[in-house]
Amino acid sequence: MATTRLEVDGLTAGYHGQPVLRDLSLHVNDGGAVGIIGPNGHGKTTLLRAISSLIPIMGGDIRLDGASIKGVRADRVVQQGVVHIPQGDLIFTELTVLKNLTMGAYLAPKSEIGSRLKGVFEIFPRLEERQGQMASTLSGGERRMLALGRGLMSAGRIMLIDEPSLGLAPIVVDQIYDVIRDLKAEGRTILIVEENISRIVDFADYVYLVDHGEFVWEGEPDELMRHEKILETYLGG
Amino acid sequence: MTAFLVIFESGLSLGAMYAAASIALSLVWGSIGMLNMALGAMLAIGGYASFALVEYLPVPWWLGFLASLGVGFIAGAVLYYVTVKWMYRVPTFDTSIVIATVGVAIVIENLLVKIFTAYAKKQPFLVDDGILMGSVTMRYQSLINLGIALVIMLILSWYLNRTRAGTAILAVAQDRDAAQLMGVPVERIFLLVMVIAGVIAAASGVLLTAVIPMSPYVGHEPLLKAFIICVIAGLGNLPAAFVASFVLGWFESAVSYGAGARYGFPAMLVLVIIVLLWKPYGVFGRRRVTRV
Ligand SMILES: Nc1ncnc2c1ncn2[C@@H]1O[C@H](COP(=O)(O)OP(=O)(O)OP(=O)(O)O)[C@@H](O)[C@H]1O
Ligand SMILES: [Mg+2]
Repeated sequence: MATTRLEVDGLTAGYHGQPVLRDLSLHVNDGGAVGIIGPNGHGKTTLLRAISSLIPIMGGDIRLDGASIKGVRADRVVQQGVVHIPQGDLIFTELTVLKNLTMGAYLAPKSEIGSRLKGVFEIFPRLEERQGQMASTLSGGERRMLALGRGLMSAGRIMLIDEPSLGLAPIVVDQIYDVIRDLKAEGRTILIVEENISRIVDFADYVYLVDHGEFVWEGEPDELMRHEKILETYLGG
Repeated sequence: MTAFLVIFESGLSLGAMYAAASIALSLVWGSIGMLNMALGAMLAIGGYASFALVEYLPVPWWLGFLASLGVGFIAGAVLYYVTVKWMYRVPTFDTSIVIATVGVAIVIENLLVKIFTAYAKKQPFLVDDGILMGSVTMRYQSLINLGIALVIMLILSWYLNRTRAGTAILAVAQDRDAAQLMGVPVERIFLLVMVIAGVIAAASGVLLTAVIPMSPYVGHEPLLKAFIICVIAGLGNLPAAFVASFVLGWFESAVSYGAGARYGFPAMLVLVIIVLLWKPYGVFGRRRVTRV
């Protein structure tokens, strides 16, 4: 039996006392790849932010390897091996590419930084070429690579990835998904938000569909593809 | 020529005085998003700390100066624990912190009045001499102030650019959430920023009261001017704040020289209004970024 790495149990969370997510439950097994889909503005990002402790939990619980992280500070959650690669990248625009990457290894021992940088530059040679450049001057695709590379600098085992394909050309998306697939092959546990249905069906081994802050469907990706009604209602056919 | 030299000399002296205070204000503003209205009181704390040690203990002036930096360090930490720590998550932080720090400033100033009375004191180590440049004397005190302001700016730049903690301060300033996702403990970074600002404010307070008479309210005018300088420079833009301090120092001196001392400050206010109409985020500004 697979062990559960990440468990969301009856989660209610939102902003300024207003819940966006209501009584949401999901779990991700060790080494698993779980996808979250759903229309814009229905709480996918909010779910990842709650798991990272960027916003407080209003009800329910979130557990990492069985231990609750309710009320735990965001930097402590990172310490426990959670890597959150945020939507819209949230890179440090006024720092160089290199400094953005080293910030990713903020909690790592100094001696590790060199070898991790090397690893990231192997995956994204483009970042190596541009390491001295201000992050604000990167193209959209390069920013996404930087956000992903920065995430890889922390050797966290549980990855939360928010819409990695958003706004990118298919060829760049292919490249990014190659990287994400490698992460899964390495045995990392992945929870990914993705609006591109064919990408998620290709990649994930289980999918949750969120609507108005609740899961309205869950199952295996190929089941989803057979579910014409759901595809039509939520995902525009 | 004499007019130019007079303006140059007094502007340099003013600029050096404003620079340290502006940097302290700008750093806190850029990275925590906090307009620290207690900065004036922190300048006074620095001035009185050095005064008390040199006058009453007595210790040599340089030891008084160094000890005042330590007092500034503690003042910064106390201000953090009294205000920022409890308030930074509140959505109205921007405005409530202004009120809170005004309150802290009032308390500090009243304590200083109680301890030292409101009568003006003189910092015991004003260096009176100077170098004669033509018909104008360049006071040694101005040069010392300039030197200390430069050293503060250089050390701070080095710290922010070259150390891990410094980079974390910049990261928090640019994107607090993203910094947290890297594992940066924001509260610790805020505390760090507050103690750095406390040290710089204390230094600035000693420099200030070496030139002008010291009272518990001695920091009011420098706070206002530092505020104007930061607005013109753009929030959190430290080198711009440094440069703008001197530009405004010279501007104020020129206006005072040409039109009389009482027009210096109103002219600065007019200048800031013009700048804000022209560039709402300051001449070099962007929204809340700390840059070095
Ligand atoms: N900081 C915030 N303060 C208040 N409301 C917010 C905040 N962030 C998001 N919301 C609201 O919460 C709801 C869910 O937003 P969320 O970002 O989780 O959606 P999403 O499913 O990720 O959307 P998208 O697909 O567009 O990224 C939206 O109605 C949004 O307006
Ligand atoms: Mg989203």
